[in-house]
Amino acid sequence: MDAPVGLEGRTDDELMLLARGGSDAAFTTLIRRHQARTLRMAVRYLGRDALAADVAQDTFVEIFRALPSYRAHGKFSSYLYRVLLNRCHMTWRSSRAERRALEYVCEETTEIPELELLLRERGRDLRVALGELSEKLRSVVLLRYSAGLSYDEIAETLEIPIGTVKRRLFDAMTKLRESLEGA
Amino acid sequence: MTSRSRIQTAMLAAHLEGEVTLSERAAIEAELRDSAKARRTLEQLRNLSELLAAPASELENIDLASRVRAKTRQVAREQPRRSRRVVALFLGGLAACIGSAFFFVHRPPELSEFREKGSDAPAVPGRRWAGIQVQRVAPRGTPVPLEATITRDDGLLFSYTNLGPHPFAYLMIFATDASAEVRWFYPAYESAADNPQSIAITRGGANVPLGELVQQEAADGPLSLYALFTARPLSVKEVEAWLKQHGPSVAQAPVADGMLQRIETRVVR
Repeated sequence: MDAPVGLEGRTDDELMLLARGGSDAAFTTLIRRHQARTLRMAVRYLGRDALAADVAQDTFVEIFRALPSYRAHGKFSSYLYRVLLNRCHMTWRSSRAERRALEYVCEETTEIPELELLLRERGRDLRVALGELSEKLRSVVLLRYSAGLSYDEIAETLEIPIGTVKRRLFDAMTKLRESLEGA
Repeated sequence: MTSRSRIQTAMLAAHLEGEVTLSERAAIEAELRDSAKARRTLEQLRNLSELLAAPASELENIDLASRVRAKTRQVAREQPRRSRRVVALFLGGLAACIGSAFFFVHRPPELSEFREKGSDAPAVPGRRWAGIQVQRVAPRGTPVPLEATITRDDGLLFSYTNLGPHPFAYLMIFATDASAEVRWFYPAYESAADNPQSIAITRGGANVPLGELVQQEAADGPLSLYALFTARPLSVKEVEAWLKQHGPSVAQAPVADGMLQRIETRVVR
């Protein structure tokens, strides 16, 4: 489904309204615009690609189903990440037992280049460190760095004051660094 | 890690984000000049933020849009089954939960096909759940749910829900205004020489949007919007003749197996 020329230049709200009017291409454009950041956020939050892809997909499905009641007032990002975060929280909680089992996954048997191995190790350490953060801290740090939201957008998404956003962000970074230093 | 070094790390994280005062910045920069440990911590924080922002490379090639499309189609196919649960919830007294956004209309059992076929006590109640949702769009504005008034310049957006064990197949949306003029939204009726029919609708669809923003220059005063759900298509002229016969404030559908929903608003300048 190719988006007609011009959709890329539309705002998120305009795309949502066009999608509500039945434009498949508008909704596709919206998904493609936010796909990378939502997947990045979900994979950092959940630590597993397959789960992250499902959660990102279900987030957009939920938004699609809520099209008739969407109120366009320039806050689509906050709305998107609120839906995504709720789904991440639910999935994270329901996959707790599975995560514990995965901590004992056997070691790689194939030979991996040293640099890639190093990156994988860093990714694994980061995943563990993020998993040790409280949900409140994890949400803020991922909204800021993985989703690239501004303080205003994070405050809007989480419905907390900007001062609380900053405090949680700096607290989260301190704890992550602490965990990684000890890894 | 001591609480002092935690505070220092948090300050460095704030510094990295440019979220420190001028005096704090001066103090941090002095510390960075003097302390190798502070420089190392700042570097670690910078690396950490880069790592968090790094693309999820494993997922970059995924076609999320196709996955979402497939899933929404699957959801649409499952809608009729879900609708029965909605009916059960409604009968359980939870009407307020689902009735706020949509004008669902319950077709009385005496009009059901089962009764028409002569069954006194139908095994399955002949209930149908259908309705439209209307949104008003002011010029250069964004859609808002229809309220007590609209202006002549407003356009209207419609979506419909057509659930239940016996959903409808066709829909007409029209309005009568203060001058008793009939204004057609669906189907489009632009020339007296034409006689268009009801539009076909999806059975089991919930919140299905109708694509066009329709503007009608209705007369100032009361405006009654009607959604006529039927099992067979009706023509515009059939419905206009029926309206002429029964007056503009009709409450029941012109056909036994149809359902009429009326929404009142007012056109103001």
